[in-house]
Amino acid sequence: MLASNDPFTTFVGTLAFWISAIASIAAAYMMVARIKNLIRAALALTTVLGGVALMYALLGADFLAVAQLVVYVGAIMVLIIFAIFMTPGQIDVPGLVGTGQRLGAMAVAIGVGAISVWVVVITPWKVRDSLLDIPTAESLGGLMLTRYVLPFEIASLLLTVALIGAIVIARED
Amino acid sequence: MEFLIPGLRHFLVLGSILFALGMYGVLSRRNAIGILLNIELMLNGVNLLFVAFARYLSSEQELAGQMFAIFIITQAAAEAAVGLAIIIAIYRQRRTIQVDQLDLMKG
Repeated sequence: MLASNDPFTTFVGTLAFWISAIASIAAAYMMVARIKNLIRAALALTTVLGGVALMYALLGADFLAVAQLVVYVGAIMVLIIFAIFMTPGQIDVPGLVGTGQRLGAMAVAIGVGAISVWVVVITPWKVRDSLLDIPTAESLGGLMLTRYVLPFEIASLLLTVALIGAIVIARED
Repeated sequence: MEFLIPGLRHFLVLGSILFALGMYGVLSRRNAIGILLNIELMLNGVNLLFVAFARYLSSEQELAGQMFAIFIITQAAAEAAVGLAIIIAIYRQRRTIQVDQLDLMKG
């Protein structure tokens, strides 16, 4: 049974899920298997990231949906596209490895994916119907400064170290 | 038509498919930036699983899954910054970022 304020009680919510799920999988498939050009692969990944952001919104994770758009689509993808621009001459060379390794990679990926899908389908999950309290930003902020304060501090230290390290590594000297 | 209504398993299967596709991409790309793109895809598959668990599973810490997802996004940002800096540094030195040509440490 669905809670009355669940987005999937409405036709629009269900339709949004299916459109975005199919678009995400199609874009991810195109990106890994069909597209050779890196810029186009980056744009396909942006489609997937947008679809995942919509999934977060449908799951009641409003803060995460916005964070996904701001951090991934807004920052990481721009960084990756800059990096593609700064390494010219690397787009046109054959993008994929030889056929033997491709078949091996396909076997590994299909094996991992099949086991994962099989496990999540047969596991009897203890599902609850009630939704999370929306908006979640306030309770997330509270948790970040109480129960998760140590991971929060480590994450801020990690970001500082990573940014300084990136500047030092990429500096021209 | 019961299976058309999204539930926990729909999100879990979607996350697993994204993870498997990303894994294939990581193993089959030759360009280092392409590998980084596929790692982001794998991280997103995992994040989707965390958020789906936070929404559907009954527990005392309902928002723990979302907190995990936030920390994964944070470390993905750090990883992208450092990884791309390393790739650009390698490109300056070797004029290539094809991972099968970067065999400097091969014995």
